[in-house]
Amino acid sequence: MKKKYLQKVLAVAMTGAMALGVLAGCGSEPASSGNESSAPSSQEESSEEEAPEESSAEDSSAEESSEAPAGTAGIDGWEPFAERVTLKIPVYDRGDAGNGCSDVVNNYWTNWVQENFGEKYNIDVEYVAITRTAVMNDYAMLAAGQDLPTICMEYDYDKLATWQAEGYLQPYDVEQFKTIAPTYWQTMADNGNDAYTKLAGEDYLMLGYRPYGNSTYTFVTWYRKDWMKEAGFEEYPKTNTELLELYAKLVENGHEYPLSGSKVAGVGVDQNYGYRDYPQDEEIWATTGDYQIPALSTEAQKRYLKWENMLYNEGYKNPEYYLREASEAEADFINGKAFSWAGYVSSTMTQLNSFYENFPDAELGVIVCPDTFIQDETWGSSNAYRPGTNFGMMIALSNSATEDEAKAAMMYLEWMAQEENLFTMTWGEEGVNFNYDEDGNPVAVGDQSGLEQQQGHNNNVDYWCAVTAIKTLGSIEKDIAAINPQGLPQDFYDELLANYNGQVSIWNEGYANSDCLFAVSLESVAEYGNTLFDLYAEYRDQLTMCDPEEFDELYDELSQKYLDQGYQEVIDERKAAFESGQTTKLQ
Amino acid sequence: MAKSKKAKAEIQTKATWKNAWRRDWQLYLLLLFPLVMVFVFSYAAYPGLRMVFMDYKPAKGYAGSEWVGMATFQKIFSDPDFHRAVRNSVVFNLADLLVGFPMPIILALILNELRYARFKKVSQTILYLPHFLSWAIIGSVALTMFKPSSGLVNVVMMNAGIIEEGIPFLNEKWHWAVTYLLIGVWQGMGWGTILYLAAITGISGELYEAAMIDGANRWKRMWHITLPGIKSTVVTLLIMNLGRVMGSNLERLVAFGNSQVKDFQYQLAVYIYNKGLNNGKFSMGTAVNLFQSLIGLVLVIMSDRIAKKLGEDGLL
Repeated sequence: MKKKYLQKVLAVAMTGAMALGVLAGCGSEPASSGNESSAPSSQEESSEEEAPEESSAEDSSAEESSEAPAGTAGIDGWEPFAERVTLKIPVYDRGDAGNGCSDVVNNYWTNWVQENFGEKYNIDVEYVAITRTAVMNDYAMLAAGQDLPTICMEYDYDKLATWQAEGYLQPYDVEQFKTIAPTYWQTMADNGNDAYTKLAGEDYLMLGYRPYGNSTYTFVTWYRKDWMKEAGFEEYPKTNTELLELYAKLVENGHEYPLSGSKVAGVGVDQNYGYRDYPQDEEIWATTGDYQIPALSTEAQKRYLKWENMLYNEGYKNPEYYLREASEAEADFINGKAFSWAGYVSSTMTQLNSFYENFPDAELGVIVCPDTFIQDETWGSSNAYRPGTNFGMMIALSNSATEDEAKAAMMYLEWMAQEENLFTMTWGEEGVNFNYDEDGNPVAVGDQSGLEQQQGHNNNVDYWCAVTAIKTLGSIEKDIAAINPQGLPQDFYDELLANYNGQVSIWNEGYANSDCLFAVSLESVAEYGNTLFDLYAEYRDQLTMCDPEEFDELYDELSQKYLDQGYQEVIDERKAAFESGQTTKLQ
Repeated sequence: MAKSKKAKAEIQTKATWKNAWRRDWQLYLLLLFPLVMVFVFSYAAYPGLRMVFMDYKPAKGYAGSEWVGMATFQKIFSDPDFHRAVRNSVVFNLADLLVGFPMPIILALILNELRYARFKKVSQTILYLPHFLSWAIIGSVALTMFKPSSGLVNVVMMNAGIIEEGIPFLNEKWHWAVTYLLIGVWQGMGWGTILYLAAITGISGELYEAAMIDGANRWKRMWHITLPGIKSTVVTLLIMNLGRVMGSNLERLVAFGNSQVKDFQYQLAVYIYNKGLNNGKFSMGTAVNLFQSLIGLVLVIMSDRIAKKLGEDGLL
């Protein structure tokens, strides 16, 4: 009898356990950040964010707005929401490329936002991790689950246009935005960004500011100055022909594959700006002048790939580059096997820290953009580059955002745009994340690993990017000083500034033009964009590794295939938009 | 005899649902949730398949997306990349079957002949361990071993003077095909062996004894007893494998992929991922997947019929 009783109890208990298991499987889990890097996490902070949600998006959507901002414009006019509002904000998860803090959706700074903004206005600020290298895919998955964040944001105009066409977004009321977020709007207006709010004729975009948008001074290439001097060069070559001489010397001096190399992992790698004819032809610029879809079949891309082909065939690049990850090329530089490495400049640079640990006596330099335009006779190259625009992040409300959530999102932007909040998010805490120098300017602590207050990638850029693309203290000198890598045996301030000044000169001379922007969503771009990129990755390696004698013929053959697979349609649709005046003009 | 007949009759009269439930309710209760789970995860999603006839936009959902009839299929079938993907999938899966299917049988036969039980067990374990490695791990190990100039295998052979130039195991499509297939066999053969060994244990030892007394040597015993003994298992697994001829494994393909072997590596899983999921075109991805499943179903039914015609039990 006892045995039977036991059996019954066990059966019911197991059934219950399985039922719970099934139900648990059906429940919605918060999106995992997918980042479990080795950096220590700040466990103490996690308890707050794990508290159960008090109201879901659906709850608040059914009712009238619970009225937060009213009357007075800006923060002073805000009242807390009567009912808890959930605000979901996307944040990049950079995975291997490094996030800084261990968990991008739950760390000291996300909790700081919750405490100082969320709690004050009865808002749950939830961050949603977006894989930096798979933005479109991540958003598509979220959209499919009817779980888009309250705002969708990206640096690329094309992506926003695609999202708008796919129905991810909803327009916003500009007048309401001006009332809720006057500071944010004023910055937009002051920099002419209020002219770019429209997609398909309606106001969709709130635009973050990009200071110094006409240069790319935050992304630079470091090189081994000691190797260069050893090769008999006093300064970095200004033309590609001279550069080839340097490379040859490097190999002669025993540096095997000095340019290292890794596979093409995403768009934006093979940029042909330095290989174009200037001044640019406006139609070519509008139809094939971007880097979102590599411009295979154009003359500029041909020059670029021919250059790559030579670097490969001369033995300057690792012959296995197409099997290697970007992290391997980075490791080559850190381990003293590569001549150069390119990356974003920030006050905290783990790559440089590691490099100097390995080679304390090494001398590095930053490649400086010459301030006069140089056309290389043989290689058709120049120091032209791709400038940005005055806007950084492009932000739009997702179609599922309720009235309250939309308000909360606008409040979030305005709150983040307040000087004191932006300063704290950017610099962190004094004495922990930064210190003041003798001139009273903040200087970030170089190595923050292990700190409870450790900031995310590039001083929390992925949080404050909604307001400004780079941190600014009001002048380029101060701003370069602020991102100048700290705690290293060498100082790069002068070269970073010279590089900026060089770029601005080139820009002033008209050799640097922003990409063409389209006010309409281009169907062919959405249809073929990804496929063309895949195809390009395949073809560009064939072209890089082919016999130089066969290059021209192969280029023509693969270009034709590329055009047939959709690029021609893209060009035609862009041309039609350009001709009907739905694009920006070449400046 | 009469007693057992009566007992049987008694059981039959009692075998109503009510009685069965009263007697075994715990068992049914335990079964309930697995059944629900199978239903939820295998059948409840089927209505979602209607997206193949829609221009499904994730943000608009089913209600907001447009019906487009067979347009998605028409688009897919006229896409040259789809043809390339189908060709590669079929060719590679048949090759996989050709190379990979006999291996576990051969291995099982060999292992079965071993007398020393411990050796048999240890080698069996070593053989099936690769099955538990993910393709990501296998892929990165393969990369380290088979890179054209810095891969371990090539470095060793070049240093030993066996070859002058590295063998392009992973970066020339024909070499890649062989590497890809053989690594697939290596990964899967141990696991398949277990199934056959289990079937072999079901063969009566008396048959072997009788055969030995009649003077049958080892080969003859294997040929006339072991093989016929596992024939039905072989047929069942063959039918199941034939159903996968149109399938493909994204993980395996991605782990071994690079820009130089796209011509062969581009199989249906890659097609679905690149053109479907990665592009936000869920209708397209689902349509190709449905196509794969239908072809798989037809193949399974056909091979089952053939097996039955040949006098086997079949699967269905």
